[in-house]
Amino acid sequence: METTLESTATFEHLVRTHEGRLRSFLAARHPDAARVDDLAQEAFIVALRKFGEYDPSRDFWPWIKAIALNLLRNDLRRSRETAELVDIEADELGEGDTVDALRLCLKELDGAAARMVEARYRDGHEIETIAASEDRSPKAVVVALVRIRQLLRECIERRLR
Amino acid sequence: MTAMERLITYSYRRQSSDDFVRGVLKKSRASTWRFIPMTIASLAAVTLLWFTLTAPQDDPLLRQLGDDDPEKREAAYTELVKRGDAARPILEKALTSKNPDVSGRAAKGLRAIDYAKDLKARDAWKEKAKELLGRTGLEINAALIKLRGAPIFDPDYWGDKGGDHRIYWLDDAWQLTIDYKDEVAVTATVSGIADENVDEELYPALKTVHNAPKVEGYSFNPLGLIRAVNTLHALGKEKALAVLRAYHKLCRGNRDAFDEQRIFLIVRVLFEHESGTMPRMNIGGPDVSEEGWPLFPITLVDDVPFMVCNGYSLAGKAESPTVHIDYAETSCKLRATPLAPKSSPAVAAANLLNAHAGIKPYHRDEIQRQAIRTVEPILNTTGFSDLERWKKFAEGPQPAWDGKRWASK
Repeated sequence: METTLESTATFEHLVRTHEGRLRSFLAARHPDAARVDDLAQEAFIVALRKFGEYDPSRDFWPWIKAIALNLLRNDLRRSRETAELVDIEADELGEGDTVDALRLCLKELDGAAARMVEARYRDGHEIETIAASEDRSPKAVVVALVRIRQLLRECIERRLR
Repeated sequence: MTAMERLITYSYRRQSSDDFVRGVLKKSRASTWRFIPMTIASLAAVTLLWFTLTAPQDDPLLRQLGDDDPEKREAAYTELVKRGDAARPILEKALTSKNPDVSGRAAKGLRAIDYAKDLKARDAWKEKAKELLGRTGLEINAALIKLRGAPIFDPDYWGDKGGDHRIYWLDDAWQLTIDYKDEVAVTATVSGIADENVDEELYPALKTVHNAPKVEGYSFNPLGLIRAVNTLHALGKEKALAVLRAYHKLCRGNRDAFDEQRIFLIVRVLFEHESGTMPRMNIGGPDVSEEGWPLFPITLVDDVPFMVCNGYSLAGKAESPTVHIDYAETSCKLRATPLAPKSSPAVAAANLLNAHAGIKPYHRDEIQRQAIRTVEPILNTTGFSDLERWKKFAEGPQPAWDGKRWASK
């Protein structure tokens, strides 16, 4: 088939409409953040190839999600992260454009909360390292991070409501 | 690692949307070569991608909406509504058509899609509600938070000989009434405006009226009142009055889930009398003096409405809001412009409190809480005390009105 400008535009529109939600869905479930964007891209390519199986009278989201879920299962199986399969069906997070909401919520953090979250999740520091730089006990850092995650979760829920 | 931790880690590493989309398109072009050996059936399927999805400017149905043949126009309309959300970009494009028949059908189609979506949601809620029977109030609260994927607010509550009853909002269209006997749910009823066989044209406006605040200072949210007023304002006086009368009729048939008194508040803001005042709401005695407030219990500060009392104590029968609808029809005109808040809710509340030093501390707190409610989704103050929330809000960066809500600048 010749890839016409029109069909490319349509496909791009589809990707733009669903990419945030799909990447959030995968990010909530995949232990390797670096694999998320690759898997999401692969899901769209598979969707394009399998379009004959799609019923256009139905919502596109459940269909692309099912494709992504299969890719996710295969990927986790290959990387032997079977323990992570436990909450693969969890629907609480990643059903909207969660990451987009989360990025806005992260911007609202300030002071020690922002520093600790960035040290732990952006830079990958150990709890003990963060505790030393914040002059707190490791237990206090763990408790603080639990509380911050809870606040972030509530912030996401409010933004997606 | 929890799902939340995975999301945070990913949020620092994700590609921008543009980079991501470019990556997909690049890979899709690379896979174009694989199309060559495809069967005719597969080719037809991929072609379907082009025709059935959302490239409005190229969709034949968009052109067919303006066809000379009325049957073809109707067929295009029916097909688009059948497609549901997938047809939204086409209908939104058609809304801008200079042909009033096309734009009118597009508006009707979008309303029909929303209506059908709400009905579909109702069926899903009904299935989920069955799982709540036999559970206690606390268990139901926990289950609803999970089902909604968001926190629940304090339900309306009343008790009678039949037991206790609570009404929870499920979403902006549906409410759940739970009847408890011996502290266990015995019935769970899903109800909403779409159940009531209402005119589809009035439905979106009826929904905003139903989501407007009640005459309760402790739950009053200025945003709900602004949305209702502006939605009705856009319809013009005649249709706005028709919506208010239709809502009142619904309330008469379902006193539990609907509340006719929210009509009073809408009328006071939506309509203007040349005297600048509106007639008293005869629904009991308020908990503060009405003197000096021409729209009592509402006051507008920089186009932000606040409720200056917490509620009314009633002994006897309350006045019907139809008296006020009639008054608006015969003696008032629609306000000149829709509400367009010029200040953030915190600044407006502070202006109100500075201008009225006599407002008692308890009511001052409530007015601050009303301001906070408008921006709760962006304030992120869960777990803080009310004083801390107010300080964070009033002293932090102020959100601006974007035409529909207050948003971070």
